Amino acid sequence: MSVLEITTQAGSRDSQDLPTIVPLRHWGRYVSGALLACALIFLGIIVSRSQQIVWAAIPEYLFNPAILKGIVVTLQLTFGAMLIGIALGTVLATMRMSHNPVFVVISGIYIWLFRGTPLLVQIFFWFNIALFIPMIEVGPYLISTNSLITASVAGLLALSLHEAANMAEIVRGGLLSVDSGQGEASQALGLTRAQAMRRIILPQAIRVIIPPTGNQAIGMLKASAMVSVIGMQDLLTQAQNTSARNFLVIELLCVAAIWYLVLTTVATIGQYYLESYFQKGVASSGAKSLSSRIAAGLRLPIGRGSADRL
Amino acid sequence: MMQPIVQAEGVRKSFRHVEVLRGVDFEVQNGEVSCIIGPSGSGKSTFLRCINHLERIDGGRLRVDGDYVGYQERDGKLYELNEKALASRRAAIGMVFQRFNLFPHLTALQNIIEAPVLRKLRTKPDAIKHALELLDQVGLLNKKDAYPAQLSGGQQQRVAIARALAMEPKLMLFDEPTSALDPELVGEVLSVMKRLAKEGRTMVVVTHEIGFAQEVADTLVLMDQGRIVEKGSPRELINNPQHPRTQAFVRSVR
Repeated sequence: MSVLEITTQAGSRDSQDLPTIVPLRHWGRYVSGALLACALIFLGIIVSRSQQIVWAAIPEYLFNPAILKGIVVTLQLTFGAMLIGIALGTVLATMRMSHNPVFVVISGIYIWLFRGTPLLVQIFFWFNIALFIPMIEVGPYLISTNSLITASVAGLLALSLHEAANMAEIVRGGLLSVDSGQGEASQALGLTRAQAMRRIILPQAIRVIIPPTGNQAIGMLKASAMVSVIGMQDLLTQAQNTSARNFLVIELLCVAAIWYLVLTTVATIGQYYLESYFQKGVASSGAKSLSSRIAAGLRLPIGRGSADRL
Repeated sequence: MMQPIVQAEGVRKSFRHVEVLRGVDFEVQNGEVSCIIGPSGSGKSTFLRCINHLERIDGGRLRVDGDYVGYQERDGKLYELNEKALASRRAAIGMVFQRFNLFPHLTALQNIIEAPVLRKLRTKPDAIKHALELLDQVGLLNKKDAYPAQLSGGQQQRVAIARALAMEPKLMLFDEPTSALDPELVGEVLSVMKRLAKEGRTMVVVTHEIGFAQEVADTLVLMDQGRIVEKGSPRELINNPQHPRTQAFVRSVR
């Protein structure tokens, strides 16, 4: 009882004697924020009232078969180019870090060349490759380059080879980020270099490689639009083809933009889950899985094993 | 007399133009615990790393259990070993590092079974059984599913010792195993090492822990400027050092 009295006394004394704390008001923030909001609303009104834009056309074309076909091509191109880019980039990175000086120089020149020239130039280059290699000889067969390097192949080649150069640097950065003690410990335990790479170094490097690779994939979704210059039937090209017929230029660009936003948003969410999956053993107290966090919040017994460990 | 486990004669090693080892003569017999002490920069860690070929020697002879470290003798020449052969030689030598070097993406148990399973020393269930015994020996059975980041430095180093033991090495190398630990965690690691010594394991320990060396070592060696300055039983070396360098070092760490 006496303890209670003391606390209530102390509490009342606090509120009576001690001064109230008043935080600084940032009036400038209110004003500048209000001004910017007004400007945006004004801009929105202008755009929405425009007689030039047929707003109804946007939902109408959103699921147009041609547009959907374009999305498929864009996705195929993105996945294909990222897969080849990651595979070739990993090869280039290991070449760059090997003890073979020829490998080091060749991958260095490759990265310099393909990172140092614009993607657009590379797309045109592959599309026009037949101009200086008109025929390709495969054993007894002679194939015209133009029949082999179609627009689709040229687009995929350009995007993947360009991506490989970027991925090579990302993979190399990831491998270098792993402490040299890890390789030494693996060697001391009698693992070969290949075993150490596969089981010890790469799983740790992945953590560093994933976030920038996710950014590259999102970049690739958008960069794939560049193949419209060689007439590949990707999302942007389909949108442009449609608007060339009906003159709804802005409307179809909006349709394309909406779809690009949807794709990049989905990719971003995927990247989040991929990253948290590879956070094993690092900052383990903070990086609990989503399900165990929800379970902890609901006080469910699910995932208790992981909580007990901490 | 039996052939020594470690036999070094005139071992030399340079990094660029700095000569780190200037002719090291050193022997360890089977079942012996040998502690190497000396000021930092004296080459003691480098010498230890030469024993399992983490560093390549530039001159002299270095043999472990009769075999040249990293080389094979044929027709009077030393041929450098290929990776596979080198890896199996290394598998027989356990090493414990100053900074533990546990694999952070694997749990304590996974850290221990990784090498025995990959090297096909044991099947996975067998390796797990052995690993649990080893974890029990270092007093960390309850931490088997913990990741290294969830363990204290002393616990990490004990897991690292268990990891090295899992390969059933004929020789254990310790590279300043307590130097990266908070003072209150040194004891738990040293007591594990003392038990290993009592069990008759062959150990080469680079350390600053004079007390440990005095209690556990069969031979104590003082290195300075890339050479072994003095060797003897710990009692002789610490209580009655002959060489002026040893006298100065013993005085400084007392």
